[in-house]
Amino acid sequence: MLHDSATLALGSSLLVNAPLSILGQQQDQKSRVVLIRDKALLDEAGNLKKDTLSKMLDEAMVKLTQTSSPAEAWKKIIRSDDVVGIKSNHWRSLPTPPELENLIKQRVLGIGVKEADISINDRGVLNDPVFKRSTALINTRPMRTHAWSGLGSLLKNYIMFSPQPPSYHDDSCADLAKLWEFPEVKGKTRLNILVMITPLFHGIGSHHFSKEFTWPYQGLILGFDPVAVDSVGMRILQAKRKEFFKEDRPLNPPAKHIELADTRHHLGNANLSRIDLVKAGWSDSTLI
Amino acid sequence: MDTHEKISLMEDFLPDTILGWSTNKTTPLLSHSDLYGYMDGGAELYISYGFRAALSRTYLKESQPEILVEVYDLIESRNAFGVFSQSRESENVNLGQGAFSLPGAIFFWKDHYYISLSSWESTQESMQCLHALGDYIDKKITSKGIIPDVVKLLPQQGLVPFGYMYFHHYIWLNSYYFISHDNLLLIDDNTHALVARYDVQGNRHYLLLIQYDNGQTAAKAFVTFQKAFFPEGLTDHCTIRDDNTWMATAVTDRHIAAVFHGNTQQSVSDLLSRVLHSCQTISLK
Repeated sequence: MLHDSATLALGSSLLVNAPLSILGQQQDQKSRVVLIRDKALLDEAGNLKKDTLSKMLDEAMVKLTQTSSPAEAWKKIIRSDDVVGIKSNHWRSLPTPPELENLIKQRVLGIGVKEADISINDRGVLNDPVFKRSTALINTRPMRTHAWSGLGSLLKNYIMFSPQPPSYHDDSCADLAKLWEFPEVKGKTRLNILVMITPLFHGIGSHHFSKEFTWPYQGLILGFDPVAVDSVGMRILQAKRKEFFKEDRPLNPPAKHIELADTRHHLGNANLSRIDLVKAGWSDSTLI
Repeated sequence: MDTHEKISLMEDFLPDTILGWSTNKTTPLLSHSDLYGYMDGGAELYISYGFRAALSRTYLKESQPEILVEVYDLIESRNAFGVFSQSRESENVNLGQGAFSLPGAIFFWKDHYYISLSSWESTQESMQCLHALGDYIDKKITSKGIIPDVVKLLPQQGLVPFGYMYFHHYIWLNSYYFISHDNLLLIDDNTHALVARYDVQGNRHYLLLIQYDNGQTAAKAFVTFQKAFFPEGLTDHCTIRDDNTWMATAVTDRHIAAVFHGNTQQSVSDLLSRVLHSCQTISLK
């Protein structure tokens, strides 16, 4: 079965003349996902060290694209004449770190994309002139539990491309994968980065955030297949919940939109047996 | 009383200033659309529990974290209790009809109101303010609600303290243990449902108990449940599942009870018997 997200990523790579094998996935192949961690990413006060994050991003990109340098890696997914929308997440309690947003922007600038052709946005993507004419998207957000969809995931991060986000809330957001068929999105996503620096593994109420339910995992998960990346992140959060609560405590509600993105919408691979997970860096308590 | 009057009433629950904190921004939420716009994800939680209106207010004090107070009018006290049952890990504060506090937040319910008090960061002063706000609101809401009768049917022996949740939207079926993505059991606003955690000789068991408004719906739900979970039938109300855990279930006049994740047939059978005994002997409205 040809999974659409894989196809999209491949399509993107073809645009920049990269061989199919670079992206590590094609029809009937596994989705390549890179999990990278560094135990020194956060200092003792919990502050993010930008230099460490920069090294992690570069190493993960090299491993994901199976190239020999970060510059080569970025050139495999973005062309200098691309118009790039960086779809971020600005949830007040756990946003995509601005340091990561800026690093992505710097890498895109580094391959020759004009500054005027790059935008970072979350809730305003539909009215953002750069996003409106974008040819490439980079999707990034932290993973967290969510009161209705189970998880705030990469798949869910595109809900802001819908003029009616609540219309995707039926059955606890089961069909979020449909968002990826929107013309503003379809075929454009070149990279997904799930931020796992201090993931939120449990939440109380609809938007309450407590540091008690985060932990310094200090990781990033990168991939071309958003379903596969989300699936890996979800398993890590589930494992953390089991460790914390000392019993199986399923996500409430379950994040079924991830599984259904595979089985119902054929957007990518959720099953671990279909994911080629590459781990790099700090290996203690990886939870997967 | 219309929605605007409801908002006015909720405004009266909140002080303008308290312990040096002053009102910063007050946001009335009069519709589902308002709630979606206000809440960065998660509005459906309240909508699944009958959301009618809410009032949000932030308080500021120099050198202190912002405090956010939200009062939700959920129409019926069962809804306020239900949202609270989702939130609480214990009941460790004496506020309203049940309250739970953790660093940076207090949640409580009273009558048909659910109240969330939180601060971005937790300081000693901000926690004192959260408690003071809770006391203020608690005193202002003079009416009391009723915990749904179905809760009385839960066997107490082995029940994990505060380890149960009330709901009437099927999404919450999987709160403790994954049962189904689908609404096999026909849970809706006319039902009262509970999931509960039990400790049976060191083994976690999960109880699902649903009270229907009539026996016909209960019977119909049990048929769809059977097709999905035990198409080949039950032996003494029990079956062993693919993961080698035991399950026991039965339908009575208006109730479906099911016990999951048992390590032995005897353990699930015993818990089922106890809840069925409650159903038969405790008179409900």
